[in-house]
Amino acid sequence: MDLATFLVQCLNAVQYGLLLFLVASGLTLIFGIMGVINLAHGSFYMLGAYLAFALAPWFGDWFFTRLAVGVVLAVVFGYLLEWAFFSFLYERDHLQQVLMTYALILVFEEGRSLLVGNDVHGVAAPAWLAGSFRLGELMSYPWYRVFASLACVVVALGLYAVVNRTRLGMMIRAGASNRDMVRGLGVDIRLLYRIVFAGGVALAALAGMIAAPLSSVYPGMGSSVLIICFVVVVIGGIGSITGALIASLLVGIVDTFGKVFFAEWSGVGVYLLMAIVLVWRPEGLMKRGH
Amino acid sequence: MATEATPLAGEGPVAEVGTLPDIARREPGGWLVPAAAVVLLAALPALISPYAQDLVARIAIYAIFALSLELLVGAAGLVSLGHAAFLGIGAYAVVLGSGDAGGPLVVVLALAVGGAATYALFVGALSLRTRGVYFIMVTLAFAQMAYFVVHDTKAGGGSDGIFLYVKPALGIAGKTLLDLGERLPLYYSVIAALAGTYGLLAVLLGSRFGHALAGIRVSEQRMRAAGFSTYPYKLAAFVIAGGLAGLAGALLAIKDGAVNPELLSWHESGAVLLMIILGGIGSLRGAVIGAAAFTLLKELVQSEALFGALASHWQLTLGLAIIAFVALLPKGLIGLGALLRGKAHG
Amino acid sequence: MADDALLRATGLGRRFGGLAAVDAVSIDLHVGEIHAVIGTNGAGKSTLVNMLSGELAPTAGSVRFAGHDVTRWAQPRRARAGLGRSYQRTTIFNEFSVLENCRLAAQAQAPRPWTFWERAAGDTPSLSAAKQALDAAGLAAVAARTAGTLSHGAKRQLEIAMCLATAPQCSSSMSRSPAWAARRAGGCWPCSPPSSPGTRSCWSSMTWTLCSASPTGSR
Repeated sequence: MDLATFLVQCLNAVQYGLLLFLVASGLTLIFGIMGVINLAHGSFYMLGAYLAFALAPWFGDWFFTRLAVGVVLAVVFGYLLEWAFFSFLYERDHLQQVLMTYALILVFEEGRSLLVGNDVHGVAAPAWLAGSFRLGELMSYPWYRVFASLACVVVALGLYAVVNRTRLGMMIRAGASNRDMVRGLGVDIRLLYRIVFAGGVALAALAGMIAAPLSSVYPGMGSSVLIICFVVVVIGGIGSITGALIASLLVGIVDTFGKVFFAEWSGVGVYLLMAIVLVWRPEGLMKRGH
Repeated sequence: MATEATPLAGEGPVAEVGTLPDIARREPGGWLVPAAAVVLLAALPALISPYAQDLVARIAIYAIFALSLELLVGAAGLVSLGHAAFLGIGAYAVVLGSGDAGGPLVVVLALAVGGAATYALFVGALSLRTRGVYFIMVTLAFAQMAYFVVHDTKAGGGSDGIFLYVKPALGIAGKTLLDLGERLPLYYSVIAALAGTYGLLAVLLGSRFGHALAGIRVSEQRMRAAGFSTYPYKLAAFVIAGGLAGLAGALLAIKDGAVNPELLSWHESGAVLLMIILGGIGSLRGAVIGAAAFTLLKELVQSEALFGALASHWQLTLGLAIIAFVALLPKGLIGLGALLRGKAHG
Repeated sequence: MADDALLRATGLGRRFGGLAAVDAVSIDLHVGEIHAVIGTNGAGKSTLVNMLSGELAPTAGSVRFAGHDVTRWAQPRRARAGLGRSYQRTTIFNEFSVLENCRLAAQAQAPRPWTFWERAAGDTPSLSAAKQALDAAGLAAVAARTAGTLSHGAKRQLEIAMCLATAPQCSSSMSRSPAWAARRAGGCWPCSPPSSPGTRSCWSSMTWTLCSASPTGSR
């Protein structure tokens, strides 16, 4: 493999990993703070992608506006969903949570099917990001992928800032470490949960919107990203954003280079990585709290 | 040698001495009810149409699948979201082991159960190093790994699946005793397998091993403090459950004459979890009832006669039904009896 | 010379990141002794007990029990060898009958999981150990009751009965009630003194941890 190809694969790996991080961070926060396992989290990613497709004709090339509108819609949707459905799951055991959120996936998938059908759609990157730049003699790399990675980095930094430098972030970290204590300290836990949940939904939806021009918009995209996100959370440790970041990048590398070297068997690479981590550190690389 | 001890009068519910509270023991009617059910099932072919027989056989196969998961979830308290992997491995083992000329029944069954149990050993050894939500996610992930192997690789046959060209038969010295390509022999074999699985699990759960599993479910820490090395028990339960799921998968492959990767999908894993919660966790009978209820429910929501245009979007109806069910009837259909009795007494 | 110490911890220490919860603790426990470990909140009593019982691995030091180096032994193995413990919060099996609670605890000594065709309810060794323990703890009358329905005091007695059923050589426990402890301190709750093989252990009070060992003939 020559340097240019290697570089391209590295960039792909990082870009894939960073997108995964966006989705996984939401999942690990929701689980770390609220203790709810949410199988429907992948559906938010799918909803984001379909949202990008649906909003495209309305906003044309106003790309950032489209993203902003999508994020706002996702936050509202997440807020309402938590209020109407998820808040009832906190007291239930894991099995019931699994089944309820599994049923939610069915509802979302069929809902999407009813509203926009089952077709695969393409979403165009905005004109000013279309095109590629040269990398070595034979390779070129799309600008949009660079943008996607940068956007994820910006969001990650923003997430870091919120979690580590604000009062809200302090409550989030406390909640991830010891849920009951936070409740005991008089924090309005319901509001905190709602905010965290809406944030998680927004992160996943934003990832879907950013990913739409890259991977196209298709019905199964929710499930595939969900299970990989589970792997990321297991490797990184529940409740740990840093762990999610490291794990996402590891998964990105393993998956991307796996496809290059192992062709049809590449799909199992990520799970073997998880198996290795389980042998070595069963609670995840950076486990926090309970 | 159970001791007789009289409870102090009026002081609360009495548990049967030496009893295992949920599984297999407190069920009314003891052995009579399952035995009667087997007799009824054996008599059915004379009474119902071939289509209905087919449906019953299908339900029975899923009942074996559900029973195998009951051992994990209901007895040991291990919620696995990847159980379909073992169903699928059992199914694929039969097809791949039969090749073009078909294979002897004993051999393909051994391949199915053995293959599934081996994968269960690998998955269990690793996932049992985790607890709770981690365990759920890890089991799902390993099932997905198996899914990718059969879906993506040439060896696995790809996304269309593989056909079973010649169904296995049981023969001795050239004479065919049992040809599972015929409807009736297959039906009775399935019923026999169901009865055998149910009986095996009932015995297992009443044994020292089974009681230890129940203790692990209730409080693993306490069991460890008492001196039980809990990991081997859980692993054994996981492997047995995997093997039995492989048996169900083998029968499914023989019955359907084909396998496809969706057998290992997490939809299938979710479905079998639904079956046992539908019937009621912690009850072998509940697993069987749940399998029947779920299969019938699926037929129901797909029926155009009842739902018209919504029938093609049956997953929506199913999803809403599940939410309503789990919300309103968390103890499942088995708990319905107690619920109604409670209401009757006001 | 303390050669015959049943339980000996040497230089036991445990760090959590930068915090040394337990630092260079050594204990010698001989047959027949009762020790009390007294400390304020956060002194490290739970951590110490957890290291002795095997639930927590020490970051420094070693533990020897009955002549073996058990530092690397997991909790179940130590429990089978005779080093038991009970917990501050009652940890009985609420769903099971009182008898089954003790029987299951006793089963740990002779688990025999492979002979799965034998019913646990008819398992003579564990049943007789359980009956003896229940008799000693004064719970024989409620053997058939669901454990979760017992009064708090009875639950603690059941906890002890379960510990007795495993016939440990040495047990440590943490508990809370001073009146309860006062009753214990004088010997045992209504039962016979240790004239028969097996062990008796006495328990703690308030925020104390107590560790006791007594002669055993059954190992």
